[in-house]
Amino acid sequence: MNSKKRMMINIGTLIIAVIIGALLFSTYKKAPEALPSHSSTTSADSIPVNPDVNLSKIPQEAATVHNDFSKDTVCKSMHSSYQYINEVKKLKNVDLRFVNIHKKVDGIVYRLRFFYKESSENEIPNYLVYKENQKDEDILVEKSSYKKGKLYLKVENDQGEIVYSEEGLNVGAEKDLFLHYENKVLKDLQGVSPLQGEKNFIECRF
Amino acid sequence: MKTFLSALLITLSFSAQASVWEDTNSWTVEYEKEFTNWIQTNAVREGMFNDRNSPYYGISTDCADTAYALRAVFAFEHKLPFAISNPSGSRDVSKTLNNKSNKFDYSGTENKRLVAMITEIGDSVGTENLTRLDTFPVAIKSIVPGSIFTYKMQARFGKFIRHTYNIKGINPVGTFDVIYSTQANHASHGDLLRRRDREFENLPNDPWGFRRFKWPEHLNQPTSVIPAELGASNEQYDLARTMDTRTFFKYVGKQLATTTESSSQRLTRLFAAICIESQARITYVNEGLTHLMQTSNACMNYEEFDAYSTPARDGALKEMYLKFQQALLESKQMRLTDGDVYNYANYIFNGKGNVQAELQAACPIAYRGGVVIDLAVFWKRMSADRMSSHPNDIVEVRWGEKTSPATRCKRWY
Repeated sequence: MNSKKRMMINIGTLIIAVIIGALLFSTYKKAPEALPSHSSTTSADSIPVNPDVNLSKIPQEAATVHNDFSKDTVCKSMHSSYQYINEVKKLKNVDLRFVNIHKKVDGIVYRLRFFYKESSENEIPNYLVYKENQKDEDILVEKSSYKKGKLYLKVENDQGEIVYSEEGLNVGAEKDLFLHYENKVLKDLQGVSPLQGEKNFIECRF
Repeated sequence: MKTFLSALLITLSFSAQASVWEDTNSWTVEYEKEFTNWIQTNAVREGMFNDRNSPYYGISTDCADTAYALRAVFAFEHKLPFAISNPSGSRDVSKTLNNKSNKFDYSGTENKRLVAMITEIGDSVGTENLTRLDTFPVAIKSIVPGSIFTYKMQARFGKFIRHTYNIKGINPVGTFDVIYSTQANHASHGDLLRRRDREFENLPNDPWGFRRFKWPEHLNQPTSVIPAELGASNEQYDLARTMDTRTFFKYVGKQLATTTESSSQRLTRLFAAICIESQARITYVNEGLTHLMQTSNACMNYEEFDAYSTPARDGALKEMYLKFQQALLESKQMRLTDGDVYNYANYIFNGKGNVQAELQAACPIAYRGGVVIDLAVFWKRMSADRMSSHPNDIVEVRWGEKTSPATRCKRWY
């Protein structure tokens, strides 16, 4: 093999390597569903040393930002970390705080609500059912503590169309980041940002 | 007759489309000041929802509901708009639950529609809605009567306890006069609860802390839209990150105080507080004992345990005693060792002095027929962890008079 031919092969290999590298990079940047794992090579002062949140689920690009970044940058990073509710629900230390599901069954829209009331020693799960009237007003028709009521169970299990959903959940060991979704879309978040070294409060609306 | 029927039909058709109330005014900074003034008056009192002569008779609230109820009543009386983020979901037309809704028509007069609306709010929300959606945090200097204090604290087994206090007044020394309710109080349809000299024990932790209500037009908006005069700020959270609980609330007290409190005044205030709360334990424990009698001493299930056990309340009471003990130490360090309360404190914590009879007369704890103890005995038992918070225990064990026989019923948490 002459040197010219060898050079051509090397250039070709290099081009292929660059293309593969670019493809890998772009795939990594898109990766919407799988939250990449945290790299152990990230410097300690730039990683949120915050055990509250499962850091292994935070994208690399977010985990390496420094403390002086703007609120917008933090919000964007957090949005990309928590935008997929189904992924967030798989995290450790997730605490579902409330759920509102509006479901159309046989032409009637029912609203199923789950939330907590406080007691002196604990918190009490509550299950409500509202029935919408002709003006789309929600009329409370069933309330039940601790366990789902009969109508709640019936509507939940009935075939129907979900016309709206809203969920609020806390994440982190101290449950100090609140995420609010409407129709599975992250609408706002508030709490302690796991992306900052210090426990700074952050509030973002999307 | 025909005219009468026509009039009746017109009346019915109007009443069938009635708002809870018509708002003819709008929220302003002046109305906020009016709210601050109103909440300090006798119109806002323990029996305001239970007194049969009260226009608001029939409202029954727990902790967060009380804050909503007070705000709604004020808005109602001043023809102001009232709105909260719709608890059932903010879809399209139903972004808020507000005074313009006519879904409470069924309940009758304007006052009854108000009661019905507040009752539904009470059924639908908790402290989390109040804190996260319907109020905003304020600067320390902007804490006024009408502000609320909400907290979230970690309890046993990773559980969290949340609560809301309504600030009815700020005392000259910077402590709080609070009015509030609890789930247990709600269940028993009791009057609102009041503590006239409250120091808080839970460090603000965003979003929990000192907050004020949002105006309807500010719901679901960033805090930057709130008028500067109302003092929206994250200051408390920044401070709380750099201070321990005691230092933080001491700082808050100093910022809000109009007079300084002497060491002996502080001791007296803390003594009164532990007396009230120690005596309040009699009610909590007796509620459980009454329930046991009704159920022939059956083991309590999870729900009953929630209602009648007292671990968090006992923990909070122990903290209050420790704060009182700390105040005693400070008095000693400053060589301010005069006065009855100093002597009581010295007797409670060190067994020194001969004031048992006076102490017991000043704050008797009569927890069962024929048995009265003083606060020294109470503290001795509590600090030795002799008092049981398990609602299936017998009265002697609940109060640490004996430690056996302990119940074998399940401790749920």
